Amino acid sequence: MEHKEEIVKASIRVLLVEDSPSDAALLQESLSEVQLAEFAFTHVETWKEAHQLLAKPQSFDVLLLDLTLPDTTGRETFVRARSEAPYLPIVVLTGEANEADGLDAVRHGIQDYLVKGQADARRIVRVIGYAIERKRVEDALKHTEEALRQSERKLIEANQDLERRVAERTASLEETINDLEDFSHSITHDLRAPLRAISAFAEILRSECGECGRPGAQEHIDRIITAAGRMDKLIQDVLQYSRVARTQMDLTPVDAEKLLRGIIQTYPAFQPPQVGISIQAPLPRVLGNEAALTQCFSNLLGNAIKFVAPGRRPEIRIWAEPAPGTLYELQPGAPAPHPFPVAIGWEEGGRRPREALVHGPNAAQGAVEAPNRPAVGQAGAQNTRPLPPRPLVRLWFADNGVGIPKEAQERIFRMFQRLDRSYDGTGVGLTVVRKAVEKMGGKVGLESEPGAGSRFWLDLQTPAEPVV
Amino acid sequence: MSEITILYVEDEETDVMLLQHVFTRVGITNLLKTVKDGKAAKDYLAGNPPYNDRRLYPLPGLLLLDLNLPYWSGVEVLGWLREQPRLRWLPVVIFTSSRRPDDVVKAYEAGANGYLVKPNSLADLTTMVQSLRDFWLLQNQLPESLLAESMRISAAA
Repeated sequence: MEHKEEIVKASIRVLLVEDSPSDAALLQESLSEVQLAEFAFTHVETWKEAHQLLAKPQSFDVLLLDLTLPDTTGRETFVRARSEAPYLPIVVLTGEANEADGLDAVRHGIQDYLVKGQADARRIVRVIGYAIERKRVEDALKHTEEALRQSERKLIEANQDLERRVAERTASLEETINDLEDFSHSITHDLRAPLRAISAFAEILRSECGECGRPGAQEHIDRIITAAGRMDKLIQDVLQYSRVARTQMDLTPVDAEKLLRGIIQTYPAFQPPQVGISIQAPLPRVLGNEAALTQCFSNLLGNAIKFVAPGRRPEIRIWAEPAPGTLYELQPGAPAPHPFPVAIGWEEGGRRPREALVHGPNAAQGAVEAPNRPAVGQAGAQNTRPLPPRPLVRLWFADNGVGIPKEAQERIFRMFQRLDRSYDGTGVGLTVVRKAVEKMGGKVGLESEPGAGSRFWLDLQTPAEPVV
Repeated sequence: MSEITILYVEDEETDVMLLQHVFTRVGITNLLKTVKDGKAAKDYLAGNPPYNDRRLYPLPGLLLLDLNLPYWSGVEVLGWLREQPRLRWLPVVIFTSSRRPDDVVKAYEAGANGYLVKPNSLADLTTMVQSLRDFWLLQNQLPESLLAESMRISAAA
């Protein structure tokens, strides 16, 4: 609103460059009668004079330029004017015969043209007003474009900066990883050496002069040996954790059952008569890292055996079921998980979790809640309701151990957390399990009550194998 | 039992003491010589002073070599050894605390004949030394030239 008034009412400073005194006079005269605006004319007859006046910026609002001047003519005239007064609105004046020059000028950054002798006062005012306004819009547009270019430049710079920082960060991370590598190497190498000396010499001492010392000396030596052994176990466990934490895990289909049976066969501590382990076959194939899974399974079995009431024979049951995924959350108060019949859960003969989520024991539950869901076992269930790309399978490890109180259940997965000092442990085993399972894209958890044993579960990915 | 001298290259004094203890315990009576760094190992094997008297410093028939050593690493000693015409058949068993796959490969690359990781308990160390004795001192055959060298000088001692 404001600038409109400016155009209409305020005095418009016009530089008129016109070598014909009569034309100049005529123009000024016709404009003097106009009520709409007031014009303050500065009239010169040559480009040289105009050039001098234009040297001082902001002196004029508009330039009226005759193209045929004593010192310049035609296109050259407006090209020079345009370049010397880039911010000034310009209207060129042409003769009737040279109207084409006016159009040419407009194509080259001049705001408008007037044909001398054809324009009445109203028209001239309108042309001048338009020229000023058009120039303003053009400049604003240029500004916007410039701003846009600038932000584009900034964006590119920011991008480059970001890339540089990512590269730096990556480099520093790699350095950290190398440092860690060196660190764990020096732990095995340097920290364990004195420990080796402590326990070995304590053993020598025990065999040589356990009896010759004061009463209790034997026990003190035993304590040294036990403590050194424990320290060594701690170091080994932390190393194991750091190895799991930093190793990149390649996931391949793993036969969980075969792996478990292999572990049990390797360690007499997992075999009868010391322990009863029953695997409710078949267990499915999972998508995991064999080394990491071996670690997880042995740690879980080891825990199940270790944390048993004195005099009790450890009994461990292992089975699989579809993990409660997005489709089937376990309902609160739902019956405790139980192994489901082979024929329903898994394709007979093979180890594929075929439509596991639909056919699992919880499926019936789901079917009741959502009547539009296909009935259990219905052919084509997969087509009507697509399964998630990698259904999870839940492996259960149930023991008859001392159990874990509710409030401690979250804590036991953290480093160095031990619930009962009367049991030998470092408090790292379950931390390793959790880290490893998470790195394989799964989850761990447990259900337990003091005195009633614990049921640990691992949710693991299943391989995306074609269903035959 | 073969009467060869055993040279143990180890900078950790407690490890040397332990091995000596266990040697006695399992009844190894062979001469056990020790040096504390890679450079001394090289001088001993080359017969450079102060090891130039073979009556005091007999040429070994078995080298137990730690990897992480001052001056020359175990692998460097081994590499040098395999280039010496008179010594290149000398059986070398690496005896280290490093399990790093990298170290194992480098050791074999340089020509190790065995790679043992120092056990953490005295009992395990004893078992390991027993098998070391059974294999290298009781059953293994050394090339005659090496045996003669090792025996001749130690016999002269």
